[in-house]
Formats: sequence, structure tokens, C-alpha cells
Amino acid sequence: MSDEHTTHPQTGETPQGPDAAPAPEGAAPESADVAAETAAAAAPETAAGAPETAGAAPESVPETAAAPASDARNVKVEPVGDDRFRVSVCAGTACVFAGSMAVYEAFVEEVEAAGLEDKVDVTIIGCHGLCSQSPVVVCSDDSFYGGLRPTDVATVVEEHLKGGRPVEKLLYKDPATGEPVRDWHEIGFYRQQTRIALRNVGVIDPESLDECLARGGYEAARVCLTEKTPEWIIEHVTDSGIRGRGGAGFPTGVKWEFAHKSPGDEKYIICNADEGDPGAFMDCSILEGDPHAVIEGLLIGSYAIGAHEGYVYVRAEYPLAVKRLTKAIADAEERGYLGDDCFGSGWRFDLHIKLGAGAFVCGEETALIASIEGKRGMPRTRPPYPAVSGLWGKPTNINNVETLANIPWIINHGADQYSALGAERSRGTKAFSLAGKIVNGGLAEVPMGSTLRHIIFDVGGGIKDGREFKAVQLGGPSGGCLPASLLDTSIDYESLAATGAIVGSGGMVVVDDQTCMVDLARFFLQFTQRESCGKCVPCRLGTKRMLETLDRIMAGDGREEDLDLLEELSHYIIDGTLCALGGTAPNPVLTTLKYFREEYEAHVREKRCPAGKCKALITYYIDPEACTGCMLCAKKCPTNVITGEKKQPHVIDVAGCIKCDTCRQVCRFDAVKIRSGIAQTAEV
Amino acid sequence: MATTADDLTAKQTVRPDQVTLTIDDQEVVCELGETILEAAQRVGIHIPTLCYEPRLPATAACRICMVEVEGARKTLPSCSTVATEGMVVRTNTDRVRAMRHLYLELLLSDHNSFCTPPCRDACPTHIKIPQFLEYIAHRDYKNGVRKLREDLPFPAVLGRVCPRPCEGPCRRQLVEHPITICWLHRFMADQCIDEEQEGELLLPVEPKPDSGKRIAIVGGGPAGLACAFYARLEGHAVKIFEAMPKTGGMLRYGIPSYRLPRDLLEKELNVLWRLGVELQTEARLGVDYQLEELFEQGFDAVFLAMGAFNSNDMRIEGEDADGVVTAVDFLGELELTGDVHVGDKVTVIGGGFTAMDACRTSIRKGAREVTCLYRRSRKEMPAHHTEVDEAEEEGVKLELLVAPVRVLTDAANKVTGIEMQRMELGEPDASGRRRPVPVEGSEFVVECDQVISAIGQYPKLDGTSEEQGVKRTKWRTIEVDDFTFQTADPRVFAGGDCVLGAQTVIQAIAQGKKAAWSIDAFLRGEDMAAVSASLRELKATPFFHALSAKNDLDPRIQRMAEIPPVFIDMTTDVSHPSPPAEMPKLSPEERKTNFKQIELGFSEEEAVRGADLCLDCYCPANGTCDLQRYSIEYEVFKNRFHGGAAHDYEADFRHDFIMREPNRCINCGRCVRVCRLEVGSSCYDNMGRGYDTIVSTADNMPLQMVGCVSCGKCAETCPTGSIVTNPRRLESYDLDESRCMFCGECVEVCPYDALEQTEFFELAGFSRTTLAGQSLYAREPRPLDPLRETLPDLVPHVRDAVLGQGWTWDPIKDDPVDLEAFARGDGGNGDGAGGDGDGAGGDGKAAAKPAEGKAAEEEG
Repeated sequence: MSDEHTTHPQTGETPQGPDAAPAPEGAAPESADVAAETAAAAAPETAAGAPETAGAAPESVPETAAAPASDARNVKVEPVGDDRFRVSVCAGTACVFAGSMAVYEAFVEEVEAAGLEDKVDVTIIGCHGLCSQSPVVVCSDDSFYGGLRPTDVATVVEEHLKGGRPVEKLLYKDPATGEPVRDWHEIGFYRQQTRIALRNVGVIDPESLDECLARGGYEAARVCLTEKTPEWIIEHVTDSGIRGRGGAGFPTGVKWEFAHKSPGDEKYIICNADEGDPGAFMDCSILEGDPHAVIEGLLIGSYAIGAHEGYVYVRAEYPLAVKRLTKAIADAEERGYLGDDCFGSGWRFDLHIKLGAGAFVCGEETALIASIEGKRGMPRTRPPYPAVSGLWGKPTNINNVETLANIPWIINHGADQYSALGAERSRGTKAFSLAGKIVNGGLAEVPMGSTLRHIIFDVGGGIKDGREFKAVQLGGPSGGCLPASLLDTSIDYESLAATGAIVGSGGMVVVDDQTCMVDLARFFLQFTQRESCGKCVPCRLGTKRMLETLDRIMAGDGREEDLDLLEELSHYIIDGTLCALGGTAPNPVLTTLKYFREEYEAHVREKRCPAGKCKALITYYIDPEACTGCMLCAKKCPTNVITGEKKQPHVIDVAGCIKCDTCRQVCRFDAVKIRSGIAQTAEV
Repeated sequence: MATTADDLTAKQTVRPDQVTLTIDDQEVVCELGETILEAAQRVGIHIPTLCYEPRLPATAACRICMVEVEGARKTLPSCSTVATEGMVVRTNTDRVRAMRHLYLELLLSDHNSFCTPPCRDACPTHIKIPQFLEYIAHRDYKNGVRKLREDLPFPAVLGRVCPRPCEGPCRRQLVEHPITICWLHRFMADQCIDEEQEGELLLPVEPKPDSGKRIAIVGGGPAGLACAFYARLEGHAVKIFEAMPKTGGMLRYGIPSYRLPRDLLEKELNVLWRLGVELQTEARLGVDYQLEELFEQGFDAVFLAMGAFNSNDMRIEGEDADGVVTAVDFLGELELTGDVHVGDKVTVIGGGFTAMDACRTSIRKGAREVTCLYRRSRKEMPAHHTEVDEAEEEGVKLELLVAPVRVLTDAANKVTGIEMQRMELGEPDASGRRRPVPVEGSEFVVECDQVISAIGQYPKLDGTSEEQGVKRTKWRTIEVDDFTFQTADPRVFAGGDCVLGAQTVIQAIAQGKKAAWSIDAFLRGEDMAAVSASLRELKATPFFHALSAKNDLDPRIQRMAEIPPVFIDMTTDVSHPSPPAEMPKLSPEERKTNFKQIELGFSEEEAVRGADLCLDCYCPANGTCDLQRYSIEYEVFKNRFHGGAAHDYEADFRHDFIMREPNRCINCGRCVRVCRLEVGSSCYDNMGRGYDTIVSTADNMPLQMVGCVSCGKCAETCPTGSIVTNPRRLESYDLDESRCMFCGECVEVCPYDALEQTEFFELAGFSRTTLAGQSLYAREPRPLDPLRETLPDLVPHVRDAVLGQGWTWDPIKDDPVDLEAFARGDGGNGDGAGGDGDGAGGDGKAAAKPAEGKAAEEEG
């Protein structure tokens, strides 16, 4: 537990073209698939790292402090006393959706049937991270089963739990070699990570305060409240160099100092858990997998700035997170960690949960405050900043979930340990949610300053289905889309801003060469456009007109001046909007225009979609050379426009084709092709 | 301006609670905490804004007031950015101007409304089209005629003969055909005309009392008749001198009766005679009387409107042959004598209305063959296309792109034919039409025994001379001032065809109307040169500046000003096609042998439906709208987002006083804040999200159900025409004294301070004894309630709690009441408190008076 963690990413294996990872991804060639993917991947899972034992003795603070960055490898909680074997079923959202609860029940039943109740514990854990393998099951001997079905459980119980031999055919297989990996710590995805904010996520049972305590939970808060001054805490946090992980990257210590110095007896601290980016689920995973870390961070913050009341503003679309957070707060209150006399220090801190209705703009702090106050979630102009006049007009401090989850670790391990990680002005680690056409979709925490290449290829395992990397959308709809040429960009606030993208909250959507960049930009713009609060003109109307322009381009009606119009609109929307939602909304369009302009030009000038995705610009045809006349496509065609004799090449009647792509997907001989461009209608 | 401000700042000593900043290179000293916008306003620098409301905290939603601040990466909203020491602000750079332009484009791209209708501007006399159509849609024809007569005295006549310039630009064409404006006002006038003969005259205003001035009008054609009508309404005595046996001018002697039945003309002109206009017929200027004699007879002004009865010569060989007539003579003779000679084969030269009239009259009078020869193509024909179509239906042959070369005659100088030459169209001429160019060697002969020339007329100016001050132009018309219609003789005015040359009836009427107003100004003793100069200046002024300049002008001169509208490019969603009814007509067979009226008129259902199709493309805020003002200032005449999606909301007429038209809403939120923070009602908020955000009431409920107090402050603050006040129907409110318990709540909540607490009012609560018998009540004192007498004194009810919460209105600020004195029972506001009762009744009444009807009268 004391190995020093490398702060720099290893550029080890870059596994390419793994065989079909069983991720729930749609293969439809439309913009919807970006949505489908991000939504699917957005469901995090809890990776039960190593099993741990309830009631284990808490590790002492000095001990953990001595082993700072080792958490990635150090996710095991040593069992106490008995040698009970532990099976941890991931209960992150993605795994739950993939059926992990059925797997859990199957384990309980089978273990009982095998008479192993006395020796084996079956538990649930928060998101384990590797969502593309969901449902995930890990055992206390570090073996890792991905994509497990309830019917497989009997085999596992029989061979592994009874027989002591992991079921090799069900273990995770290295995508590059195809060899099973027994110890999940050896999986590239995990090996490359440095987990601080996620230190307990996927390790402990999130609904058990004892397991949290066993991992050193609340120790930092106890120390702070009983032994330290607010000034000490603020200095410590400032020294660590941590910056807001919600996207803007404002130094947390400075923010706390503002709120601390702001005059007034009544102050508030708010945890912003209104994570709304499509494709981002870091905050969700932390709340689901380790709610106490956030509560502890809030408690420390409340003491530092002088707030006796706090709110967690969490979106109601995270029911699991809400449920676990509610229980965690109740548990903490019961033990006296929260309430009128926290840790017997005399410090009073009440924490409330406020459910958001899912408006993206409520992640903006002034809109969030308005929402808590019961008003329409609309931003207002700053200044005054919330640190001066926030909730109910009182000084208010707002931090992101991930930021708060880092605080106890910083207190425990020292500011130096934290600032030792990361790049120049971006210290520490950052959690990313990897989604899209990537082998290892899931939750990954790496030191800042790692390169994109490292995250996508080393951690993420490269592009799915052996396709080529085309671009990565960073920071969700507010972020930018970067091409392969920028893969060696260091992930820190300044370097990414220079490219036109942002770190943002950490969403990372990877796309392959089959994605149309106009379509991608449109997808993200459509999201922000729908989520605009409607208050200021450039955002309310400007994004709408941008979207209409993109629609026009994709429909083949693009005009030469449209690209300039898009740039002009983007420029003035960024320059003039009231809040960051509008101010960043054009980023996907601007960056795709910057790095993939030729693709836009192909749409406008040649009426051609190079990726073959824009329906108005493509036609399907069957290559007579490749067609074997198997008739499958004809059978599957929903509009019955494919004709042909058995064992003779088939033909698509373009007039009736609705371009649903079904024929291309079902064809086993790759005979259905797409044609795009001005000449598309001339041929057939 | 700049120097003054500079001087001011130079002299000022800057206090510690002040900051100094630079706005557009001008040093400005402002109070600590003031915003850039407020600081700029101090020194007269105008920063455009739509959502800023001085009484309320800034919201910075419209982003129009963005300015550049040195050192700031992005532009900043001046309405909410507090000025700081040493700040350097630029309010009018290329960057912010381009930004404002773009934002205005965006706002207009979802502005499903229009400022002003093009039809009204296209009409020479600017009849109020959407308004009278509204009356038709409500089947209120009498008020419709009254509205129409504000600009056009003869709706029934013009409904038959007008070339309808208004219908060309009608916006209904965005969906389908234009509204049949002309036929609709014909229908409306027809409904009233018979009743009006004996009954009440449908006048736009009550005629003013007799002014004692007399006006002589030379010529009883459209211009003279219109002038007579409007001059009479101003209270002047009017006498028309008509050369012909009957009035009407070209209406009677130029337009055939199948287009304008004579009995109808008589009926419509009857309004003049019933108004007291005098008439002398067969009185020819220069023959039966002289211009000077009119002044000797005591007339104070003369209006020359003798029309254009001289026909242009064809200037070709054989023009004087037997069988060659002018259309004016031809049609006039028919009207005068009831008959006219018509040849067997008739050739009509020309393509205007008169030519068509001559063709179709010839057909009706038995000509076997009628050919119409015109030198340009059909598209260029000045006659209305329906006239041409109808003529063809009746058998008239069109020969286009030909010009006459000479008239062929026989030995007896009788017409046998006409030699024509083919033409082709060349470059457009000054009129914008393509000039006909002869094709050499293309001459051919058309056989005929009668040639009717209809190639234009010019005025017959007998009896006037340059020496008398009636100067001529090079087009043989009378020279007048463009704005006052005054000739060189200040007492003599002229208008209609004798000034315009042969033009349309509606143009003549427009001139008659404006001339009447000008003569009125002259008779009131206005300096006509100054009037002309100010109107000329006004016309040259940009639209919005012209509107504000107008406020300085006498309304009676204002009405002579014609400020051309500026059309802004906005996206509108016009849908639901519903073609207008076709006017039923006689078939060609039924009509070509007689002079029956061809167009039969609409049925009521057709007319009401036709009027209902009007898009009402006008806005009550036209001219006061900030969005319009800035759009014009930033020249948003071409919108790059035109044609994008636009919302189509329903207007809300459910409230008695306040009309909401969400299509004009720009979501500035001023009404939201005023209603919440100033009135305390909170009727409005933003509803919906994103692009669909719109200011409305909760669940779009009617205002009266969401706590509206009908104060109209929302309408007052609305920068566009989205919320407007309806004209109030109530004159005053009544107070039911049997129920009033003098709580004073009404006084306190009234947003306009329209109710006052009289000294007695405030006293009411606690000391009835002192008030007994002293007109506590508005009407008459009531006997005391013996029970109440025994009650302890009550403390006056002042809502401190409410006032403490940001209410801006202080009920006792203006007239402080010594509450302690009251409590002691010795009266508050001086001795008069319980004293003299004489004024009390009146005061009580005042307290019960309503808010002054602030309702803007609907703008035309």
C-alpha cells in the first residue's frame, strides 16, 4: 500500500481493434447513435474493486497519508478477522440497466443453494468504472467478470467459489491478445488510473457507513473540525492547487477564501450535482459509489467558510444517487457527524438535498441558486458573485461533487501530495467518463497533464471494432471536438482552452471515421439549444438559427455563405451571452469548423457527406459483384424496395428507400454500399 | 453637447462617493454604484437597450446595450455593469454595432408581426384599411364608412372605379391572393348609402362651427368634391362652380355607366349637398365668370380643380379626318346627349383606362369590330388588368406593340383605315417601363371607319393666366407648392388632374383632401411658407426622427404630413390559406349590349369573410416601438435569418383593458419585473424553455384570473406592441359607500395614485364623533351608529410591513399626516381636519374616481 504512483501516464499498450465488446451500442448510422451511445455509457457502474469487510478497522490517517497516489492499485480493504470470500456486484446505473441486479440475486440464490452462505458474502458496490463490460462482478481474489448473465452464475459458483478456480471463459479478455486477465488490476483500463476522487467508488458498499469508515472516511472532517482552524483548511486547499472540477476551473481555495471573508453570519455551501452533459457521469458515479466523500467535503467546506447550512443540488434523474445520498446523510446524522454538534466540536451543520428538475442551465451557479429558492432556473448577471450575494442573498459557496470528494483526501494526505500530481497550473487528478466508440467505456481518473492519447488508447483501449479514431468531443456540449492531430495535447485547463475545447466536467465522447462531424456538432448544439433558459437573445435565438443552418447544410441546401454565418453567429453568441451555457454552446460547431472544415465544404459544395451519414445526401445501392443473392436484405427491408431473384444480385429501388440502413447492417457480404455527392441521383 | 458636458465635469469637484470614468472619450463623473448605462445617460450618450427599465433592477436579457470596456475580454452589458474608477468604455464601436445588428436580426427573425401595413401607404389618400375591414368583419358598416371617410369621402364610387394600388402590396399574398380591399369598401358603402340619403350622415367628425370664411371651388370633379367635403367639415362655407350641367367631372363624363351607375354617383354626392355645399353648374371660368370676380364676391380662397379635359394629339397625318375622335369627346358626348355615333369597325389607340372605356362603350353601342392598339406589351398597359380581360371577353381585339403612323382617308376625308408600325421594347424609360422602339419596314394597315384616340389628356386652363399668379409647368399643368397646393397667388390653390395631369380618381381625391386642409390652415392665418418648409423638412427627415419632430407640429398641420413608413425585414408565419370570394359579374353576353353595372357586388357573407382574411398587419406600437426604432437605426432591412422558424401565438383579448400579443414579445421581462416589483401582482413570468420561452401568465390564464389589477403598467413599460391597453369603456368607478369600511387599501394599492386620502378619508377609522355630520361620505352623511361610538379609537391603518418590502410608493410622503396628533384626537392635518365640511363632499368624490383612462387611443 505504499508504492508510489507514477504521476505520468504510461504509454504502454494501446490495444487496437478488440473483438466485440458487449456494450449496448446501437449501430444505426444516424445522429441518434451519438445520443444512444452517450446515454448508454452514461450509465455508470460500480466496480467493486476489492472486496472489503464490513467493520474493518479504519486505516489510520498517517498510514494512508504515507501512501498517497497509490489508490488506483490500492482499492482493497483488507478483510478483518475471518477469511470470508466476497463477491461484489456492480450496482452503478449502467450495470443495473444491463441486469446486474438479476445477477446479484442469482448469486445470492446459488450461494445459498451451494451452502456457501457462511463463507461467501454477496454485496453490491458503486460504479466500478469499466461500464463497457457491464454488468460487472468482481471477487475478493481480484478476479473480474464482465458481461455476466444470470445463467452464468451457477458456473461461477460451482467452479470459482467452490472449486477455487476462476472461470476462465467468463473472465475479462485482453482485447489485444484475447487472453483472459485474472486480476482486474492488470487490466489496462485500471492500471493506468490514479484514483483520488474515486478512491472508494467501486470499492465499498455505498450504503454502508462502516465500510466508508474502514477506508478512512470522515477522519479528515473530524481532524478539521476538532483540531484545525478555517484558515488552516483554506490555506491547505489553496496550496493543493485544486481547481473547480465542474468545468470552469476556478481555484477552490480562493473561492473558499472569498466566501470565508464575505461578511455575514448566515452563509451557505452548496454542492453542485446537476451534472447534465450528455456522456458525463462522474458526479453520478461518485454520489452513487461514495456519497460520504461528498458529505465530508461539504462538512469541511462549511467549517472553512462558516456556513451552517448546506444543500446538495442533485438532478432528479439520478434516483440511485439521491437514494444513497439520502441514506448517507441520515447515517451521518445518526452518528453525529452532521447536525447540531458535529464530532462533538460544537460545529453545527445541516445538509439538505434539493432535487433539480433536470434543466441543464441549473448547473450554472446563479441559475442553480434561483432554482433552490424556488424560482425559475434562470441565470442572472454577475457581479454580485454568489460569494457576496448568493442563496437568499447571503454569501454562498458552490462546489462541484468531484471537487468536494477530493477535499478529504487532500486534508488526509497533505496539499503537497496532491499538488505533486498534474501539470503546471492544473494540479491533481481528474475523472473522465469515456463514452462513444471506445473499447473501455467507463469511468477513469488520471492525473491532469496526461495526454488525450493516453486516456483514449491506454486507458480506453482504443477505438471499437478496429476502426480509426476520428475525433474526441471533450467537455460535453460546451466543449470542443479535437482531431487526431491533437491527440498529444496535455489535458490541463490552459492547453485545452488553446485548442478550442475545454476540460469541462470531464465528459469524453470518442468517435470513429463513420461519424459525420456536421452531424456531431448538430447533436451537441441541439442539446444546448433545447436547454437554453430562454432569457438572453443570442442564446435563445442565436443557437436556434445556428441549428437551422446546420440542418440546412445536412439537408443538402447549404449555401456558400452559411459557414461564415455560422462563424459570425458563434462569435457573437460567445461574446454576448449572459451565462456560460450560451457562451460555450457554439464550441462544438466552432471546433469542428476549425478542424473538419473540408467536411462542411463537402456538404455545401458537393452535396456530399463524406461519412455517409446525412440521409439527404446519400443513396444506398447493392454492389452486384459482392451480392450473393441471399435475400436477407430484401426480407428485412421495411419498405420492400429491394428486389432480386434468389442467388442473383439484388437491387434497391431508390425512390422508395427510406435510408434506414437496415440492409447494410444485415448484409453479411458487405454488398450494400452508400454513395454520396452531387452525382448520387444520376447513378443507380 | 460634448463641450458642455466637458465643461461641467471640469468644473465639478469629484467627491469620494463618486467615480470618474471615460465613455466614448468623454470623462464622466457619476455616483458610486451607478451603472455604465446610467453614467452615459448623465452626459447624453445614448446606449440602445430594450430590457432596461429605470425603475427596476437590471436583468440584462436583451444584450442590446453591450459595450466594450477596456481590459475586458468580452463585451459587457452596460445596464448591469457598475462603473468603476478609471474605466474606459466605448459604446459605439464596430464590434458592438455588428453585435447589436445581429441580435436585432435574431429578434426580428422570430417576430411574427408587422409594424405597418403596406396597403395604407400605397393608397394615395391613405385610407385606414385594416381598421375599416375590422368594422366589416364585425358587420358594423356605418362606423366603417365613418372611419373610411376620414380619408375618402366617396367609398361607393371609388369601390367601383379605383385602380386599387392598395391591393398590389397586400401581405395576404404571402399566403394567396390579396384582400379585395376595393370591393369590400364598395360593399360596405352600399349597405349604408340608401339609409344615408334621408337619415344621419356618416361623417368622420362633427362639422366644426361656421368659420365665417368662404371657399370657391372651380370644378366639380373628384378633387373639387373631396376638397369641398373636407373644407366643409372644417366649418368653411363652400361653393362649387361647375362648367358642365352636372357635377362629377371625369367620374360622370369620362367613366361609362356600366362601371359607375349614375344614380349611385348622385346618391353618394348627396352627402355634400346635405352638408351645405353650394353648387353652381354651367358656370365656366373665363367665360361666365373670372377668377378675380370670385374674390370680389367675398370668397377668401379659391381651389382650382378643373381637371384635364384636353386630349393629347396623336401628331400624325390625317388626324383631322372625319371619323377621328378623342375618347374624352366620345365618352362625354354619350353622357351629355345620351347617344354617340359609333362606327362599324372601330380602332382605339391607347392602353389606359380611357382607351378601355372607349373600346367597351363602342361594343355596347353596336360596333361590329373593335380593335385596341397599344405600343407596348400587355404588361405595360396602364389600365387595370381586369379591365383588359373584361374588354377581351366582350370581343375587343388587342393589337400590341404597334404605333399609329397615319390615318388613311378617302376622298371625302373620311377614315378608311389606319397605318400602324410594329414596335419592340427597348431600354426602360424614366417611368420604369420599357421604351417602345419602331421596327423599320413593319408598317401595316388596319381597316376601320372610326378612330378613337385615348393617348392622354392635359388640363384646359381657360380663365387662368400666369399674370394672375396661376403659373404653368412645362407639362401644361398648374404649378403649385408640393405641400400646400398654393399657386403663386396665395389665395389660389389648385389640385387634381389640373396639377397632376390626367391621373387616377383616387390621386385626385387625395389632393383634394390635402388641399382642403391646407386651405384651412391658410384661412386660420398660418404662415403658409413656414408650413410648407416644415412639411418639406419633415419629409426629408429619417422615419423615427420625423415621428418625434411631428410632436412639435400643430395636429392640423401634422395631418398634411405624409411620413413614408420604413419596412423592416422580419420573419412572419402566415398560414391558413382561404381564398377570397370572387366578385360575381354579368357574363360578357349579358353585358355587352347594355350599360348595366357589370360587377354585382358581394353578398354579406362573402364580404365578412373577405374582410376577416385581413392579417391586421399593423401594430399599435408602430412609431413608438423600441425594437422598430433600433431596427431602423441599425438598418435591419435584410434579415439573414428570414424564413427560419417563427412562433405563431394567439393574441389574448380576454382582458377588458389589456391586450396581449405574444407574437410581438421579445422576452425582455420588463412587464414581469414591473408587475412583480412595482405593482406587486406577479401576473407574468417566462414560460417554456429555450427557443420556446415566452412571457405569459401561469398556464396562459386570462390576466383577470392571475391577480391583475388592471393598472396597465405592463403595457406602459412594454418596449414593443406586445402588451397594449385597449381603449377604456368605463368613464369612472363608483364607490358603494354602504360597504366601504374606509380601510384605505384601494388608495394604497392604486399604482397610479389615482385615489387620494382626503383628510376625512384617513380620519374615518378612529374618531367618528369628530366627523359626525361633516360629510364623511361622498354623497350625504348618514346617521351615526350608536354602537360604534363606544368603540375605542383605532389607529390608522398604514401597511408598514408592506411598505418595508420594496414598495416604492409612500402614501404619506406628499401630505404628511401627524398620526400622533390624530391619536390625541385633536385632528391631524391642521384645524381643517374635522372642520369645514364644504370641500369634503368633493374630496370624497375624488377618492372614488377611477384611474385616469390612460389607454392609448388606437393608432392608425
